[in-house]
Amino acid sequence: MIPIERRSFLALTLGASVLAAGAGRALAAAGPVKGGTLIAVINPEPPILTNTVNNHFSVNVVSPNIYDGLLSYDQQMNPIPALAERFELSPDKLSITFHLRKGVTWHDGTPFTSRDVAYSVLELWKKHHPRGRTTFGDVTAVETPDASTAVLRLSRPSAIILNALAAAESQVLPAHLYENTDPRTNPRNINPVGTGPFRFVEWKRGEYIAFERNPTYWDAGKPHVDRLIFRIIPDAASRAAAFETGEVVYGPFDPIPLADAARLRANPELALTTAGYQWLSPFFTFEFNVKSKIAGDVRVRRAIAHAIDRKGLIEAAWYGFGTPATGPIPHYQKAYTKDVAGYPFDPAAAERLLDEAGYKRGADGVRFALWHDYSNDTESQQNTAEFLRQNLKAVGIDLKLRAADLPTYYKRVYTNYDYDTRSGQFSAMIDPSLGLYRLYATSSIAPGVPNTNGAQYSNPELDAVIETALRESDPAKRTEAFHAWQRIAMTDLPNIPLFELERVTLHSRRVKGLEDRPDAAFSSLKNLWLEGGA
Amino acid sequence: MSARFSFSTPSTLRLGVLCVALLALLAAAAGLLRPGDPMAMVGPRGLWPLTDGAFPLGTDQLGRDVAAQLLFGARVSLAVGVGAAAVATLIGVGLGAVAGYFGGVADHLLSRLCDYVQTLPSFLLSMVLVAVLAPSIGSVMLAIGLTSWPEIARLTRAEVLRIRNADWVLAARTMGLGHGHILLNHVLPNGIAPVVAMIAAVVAHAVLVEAALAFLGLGDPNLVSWGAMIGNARPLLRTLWYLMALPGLAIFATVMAFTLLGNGLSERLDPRGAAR
Repeated sequence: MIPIERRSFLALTLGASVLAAGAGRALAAAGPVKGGTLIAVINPEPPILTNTVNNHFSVNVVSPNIYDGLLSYDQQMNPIPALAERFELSPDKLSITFHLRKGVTWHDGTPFTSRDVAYSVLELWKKHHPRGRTTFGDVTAVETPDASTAVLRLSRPSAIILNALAAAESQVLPAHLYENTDPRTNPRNINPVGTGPFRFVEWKRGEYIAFERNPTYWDAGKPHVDRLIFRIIPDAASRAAAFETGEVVYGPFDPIPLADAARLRANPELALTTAGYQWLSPFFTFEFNVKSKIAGDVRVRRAIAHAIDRKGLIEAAWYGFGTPATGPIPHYQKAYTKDVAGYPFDPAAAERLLDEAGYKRGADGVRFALWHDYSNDTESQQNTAEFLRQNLKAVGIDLKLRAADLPTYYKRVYTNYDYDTRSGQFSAMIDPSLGLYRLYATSSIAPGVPNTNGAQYSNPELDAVIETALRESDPAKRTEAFHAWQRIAMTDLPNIPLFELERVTLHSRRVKGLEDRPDAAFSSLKNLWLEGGA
Repeated sequence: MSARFSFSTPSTLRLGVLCVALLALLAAAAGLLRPGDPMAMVGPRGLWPLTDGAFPLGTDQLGRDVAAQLLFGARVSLAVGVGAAAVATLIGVGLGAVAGYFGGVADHLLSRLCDYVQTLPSFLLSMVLVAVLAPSIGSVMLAIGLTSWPEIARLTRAEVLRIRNADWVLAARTMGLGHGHILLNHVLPNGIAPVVAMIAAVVAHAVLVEAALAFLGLGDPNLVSWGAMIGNARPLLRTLWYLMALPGLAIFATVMAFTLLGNGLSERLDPRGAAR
C-alpha cells in the first residue's frame, strides 16, 4: 500500500491534466521521504506510557507508537491485520482464533509470541483496563497451541471484542517484562518496551518524550521519520505560537484554543482537520437527574430539548466545531438512525409543553428554577452553560449555574446525585455498546463511579435492548437493537444529546501521510513523513 | 466628625468623592441606561466597540451587550466592595476597640489572633473559603471581609490606646459610666477618623480580590462580574482584545476612585495634614 494523501493525489491527477510543470512538481513530491524528526505536541502530559492501566486520551495518543494491537480498523470499521495476520470465529461463536504475525520481536530483541497475547488478555486487559473489564469479561481462557496461535475461549458470544483490538484500546504488552509484577506500578510503564514502530529513547518530565525509528518493525519501510518527539507545552497560547513558528508540526486533541482556530486556519503553513476522532464518537449532552421532582417529568425534559438553540450554541461557544445531534449515536456511524423523536428549536412548543405539565409562568415570568452543574475547566463549557441559561430563561425556566472543579462536580453528580441538570462531554465510542451502556443501563447506576448513569434512569425495555447490542453477533439484529436504543433514548430523554463534538488536529502542511481513519488521532504516526525530509 | 466640604478640601479627596459618586450613579442607573437582562444574547457575536450605535461598547463572544455587562458589573463590584468592607469593619473595629480599651490578656490574645490571620496568605484563604461555601455574592463578600479585617483592627487598637487615658475618658469613668457606653460614645468617635480612611482602602482591595476570584471562576456564575468577563475572554486575547481591556479599565477606575477617596480622607483627617 502506498500512502498517498488523498488531497495530494487529487492535486497530482488534476495537475497532470492541466499543467505539465505542475504535474512534474506533484510527482516529485508524491513518494514518502525518509528521515527527519517529527515534533508533535501533546497536552496534558501523559501520566504513563501504556493505556492498559490508564486510558486518558493523552496516553492513547502517545502509546500506540510503542505498542501494537492485534488488529487495526479501516474507514468502515472493518478489521485489518496488525499483530494478528488473520482470525477465525468458531461456528458456536464461543472461540476466536488469532494467527499471529511471525518474526516480530520486542524492542529488546525477545521474540513476540502467543504467550504475550494470552498474558495481555487475561492478566492485563481483563483485570486492569478501565473498559476491558467489561469488554473481555466473558473470556474464560486463552489457549496457545503454538507460538503463533492464540485462541480466546468465551463463556458467552460477544459482539464487542472484535471491535476493541486496536492499539488505541487494547495494547499487547511483553509478558516477559510484566509477569509476576503489579502492572499498575511496573517500571516499564514509563520506560516501555513494545513491538511498535518507534522505540522509546527518553522522557524528560515537563519537557518532551523522545522516540526513534524501530528498524526491525514488521510493517516494512515504516515508520518514515527517524525520530519522533512529543513536546509538553502546558500553555495554550505558547502551543499556538509553537505552531506558528514551525517549532511543532503536529498536534491532536485541540492543541490550540478553539478561539484561535480561525486565525491559524488562515495561516498558509498550517492545516486543520477534524478527522480521526470517530473512534471516540464524542458528543455534548445535557443530562437530567430523573429522580428529581421537576426534571423527573418527561414533558419538562422534552420542553427543554425544544428550548435549546443547538446551532447557535455550536457557533457561539464552540466556534462552529460541532454538528447538531439527533441522538446519542453520531450520524457518521453505521448504527445511526435519524428515525427518532426530534426536538427542533421551538421556544413556543417548549412553552406549550411546560404549560401542559402544569408549570405556569409566575408573576415574575419564571415557571421554576433548576440547578445546573458543570465543570468549568474550559472556556467553552462556561460559555455553554451561560448560553443554555439564556435559552431556558426565554421559556421561563431559571437555570441556576453551579460551576465546580472536576472532583466536586463528580461527587455531586455521581456519588450524591444532588443535582437537577448537568452538561458535559461523553464518548459514545465507535462501537456504541462500548460507551453508551454507561449512560443508559440500569446496571450502570454506580454510585461513586464518574461518567456512568448519573441520571439514575432505568427502563427495563432499554436494558433488554442493550443486552442484545452487547451479545448479538448477527449484524442486522444488532443494528436493529441500536436503532431501538436510539428511539427509546430520545423518547424517554434522560439526557439530551445536543451536538456531536468535533476535535481538532492541527499540523504543518509539511507533514504528509495523515489519514482520516476513525482512530487516526489515536494511531501511531508510522505513516507520516516530512516534505523535504529533515 | 468635623469633616466639612469646602473649597479648601484637598483635591485628592474631591476627585475621589467625584469618581465614587459617578460610579455609584452609573451602577444605580444601570437598569435605566441598558434596560433588560445584561446577560441576554441580543446582538451579533464579537461586535467591536464604536461600530454599531445599538451596542456602543460592542458585544462579546455570545452576543451579549458589553456596555450592559459593564454597568451591571459595577453593581456587583460595588456591592462586594462595600459588603466586604462592612464585614471587615465590624470585626476589625470591634476587636481592635476591645483590645485597645481593655488591654492586658484581651489585648494579648486579640493581637496574636491578628498576627495569625496576617501570616496567612489572604488571597489563598479567600479562595478556599469561597470554594468551601460555594461561589455566590454573599460568600465572596464574607471571604474577603474575613481576610481583610486585621489592618482595621490594628489601627483601631492604636487609636483607642491613644485615647483611652485622655482626660474626658477618665472623667467619664469617674462618673461611673459603663465600659460599653464609654467606648461607643467617648472613645471611638474620637479615634475613628483614620479608620474611615482605611475602610476606603479596604473597599478598593475588595473590588480587586472579587475580580481576581471571578477571573479564576470563583465568582457568582449567575451575576455579571468584571473579573469573570476578563476570565472568559482570555482565549480571545489575540482576536477580540477589547473584551479583556474594557472590564480591565473598569476595575482600574474603581480601584483608583476608592484609593483616591481613602488617601484624600486620610490627608483631610490627619491633624498634621490639615495644618498644612
